Amino acid sequence: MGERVPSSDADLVEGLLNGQESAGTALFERYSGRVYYLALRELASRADAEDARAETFLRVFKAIQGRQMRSPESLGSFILATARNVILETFRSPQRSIGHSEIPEVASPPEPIVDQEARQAIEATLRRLKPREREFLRLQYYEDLSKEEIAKRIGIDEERVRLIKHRSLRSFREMYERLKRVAEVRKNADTKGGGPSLKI
Amino acid sequence: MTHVEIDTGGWVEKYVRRRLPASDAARFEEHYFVCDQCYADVEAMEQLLAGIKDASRRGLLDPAEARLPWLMPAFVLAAALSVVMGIGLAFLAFGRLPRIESDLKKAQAEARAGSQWKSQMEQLAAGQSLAEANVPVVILEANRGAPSPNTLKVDARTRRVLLWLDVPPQAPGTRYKLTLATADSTSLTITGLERNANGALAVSVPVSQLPDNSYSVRLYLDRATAPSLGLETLVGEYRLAVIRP
Repeated sequence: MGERVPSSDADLVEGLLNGQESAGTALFERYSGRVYYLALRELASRADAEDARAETFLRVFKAIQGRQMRSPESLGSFILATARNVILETFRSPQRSIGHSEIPEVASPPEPIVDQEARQAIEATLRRLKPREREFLRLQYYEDLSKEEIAKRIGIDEERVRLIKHRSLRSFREMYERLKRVAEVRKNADTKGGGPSLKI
Repeated sequence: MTHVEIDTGGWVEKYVRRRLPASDAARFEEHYFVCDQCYADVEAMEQLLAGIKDASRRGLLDPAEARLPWLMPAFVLAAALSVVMGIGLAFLAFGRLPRIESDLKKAQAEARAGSQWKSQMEQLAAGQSLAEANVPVVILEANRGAPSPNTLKVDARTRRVLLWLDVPPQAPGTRYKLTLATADSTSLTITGLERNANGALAVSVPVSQLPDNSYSVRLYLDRATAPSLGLETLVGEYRLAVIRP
């Protein structure tokens, strides 16, 4: 019989303190994406973000095992604080992969890689939209125009802009989540050599 | 920070697009680090924005691309239909229509001719089947004994006339041929004539075949009845004038 995977942050901390390997894996799986995302957003470098993530978890594991964490329930906040420190130190480090010496007010992270599900969801969403709504998306998110400019450019009022935005975001989210579930089910099926399929 | 506040304030999008003030961004980070749902929203928003940029770069959101997906096929279809209709009309106008018109005219002419022929046939049948009163008769006398030509007067109602010829009793043969010729040409030939009980020849002729004119009427012996006499033996010669009032 295998180890029970801890579910709450307190369980994760307790599992780590008890030497459970699965607790460390679960903690990493739960928070590594967030740490990497934050680091990439601030450091604007994938390599630096990877390094910052590794350093953050090293410190978190050390802190837990050294019983330096006061409240296991606030694991998330602890990880965030650790990550911020690491990011700040990375900015100040002379070995940084790009030459920032100070934390810029607005960093320019590299474009996130569009995964296959997102691309499919975007195309499915675009097919549902009217030409004017597609134009809105381009102006809003690609050309980065303000609502007023967009409203003037495509001849619709600002309220309509808000509705289009809401509709396209909701449509994308629904489609994206379905596709992600399908991808997960397929991945599990491939791993196990078979399994249920989810119809979208 | 509550989810209502996050939703109504559009914090997720603002955070991803870096439109939140630093203090709000820090607050939101503290929230999504412990909230799976909000972190999923952040991830999805990142993917959405990246996907939109990717689609824009691939031209899927270009104004032309955005407006034309339905317009272009509709335009192409309409243009293709117009071309096909144009070709069809041109073919009809320049190819088929003149031929159809010509065929129609020919058919009309044939119908008219058929109708006229039918009418003529009906008239002829009526003329042949109905009894006719006041048929003009002319008794032809030989030229030598008659100083003036024999005159035949016909009116508009007359359809046939009767020519009466007294054949000399000494004339050979039993069958005769009669020719009526104007000064310029022979206009009528009647064969197979035989004497009647009075020893004369009676010939009924449609007035349509006798226009107003002066005729030289010649009676020949039919050579089949008297082969020994040779060709075209003249038995008698008369003069006839046909007059219409």
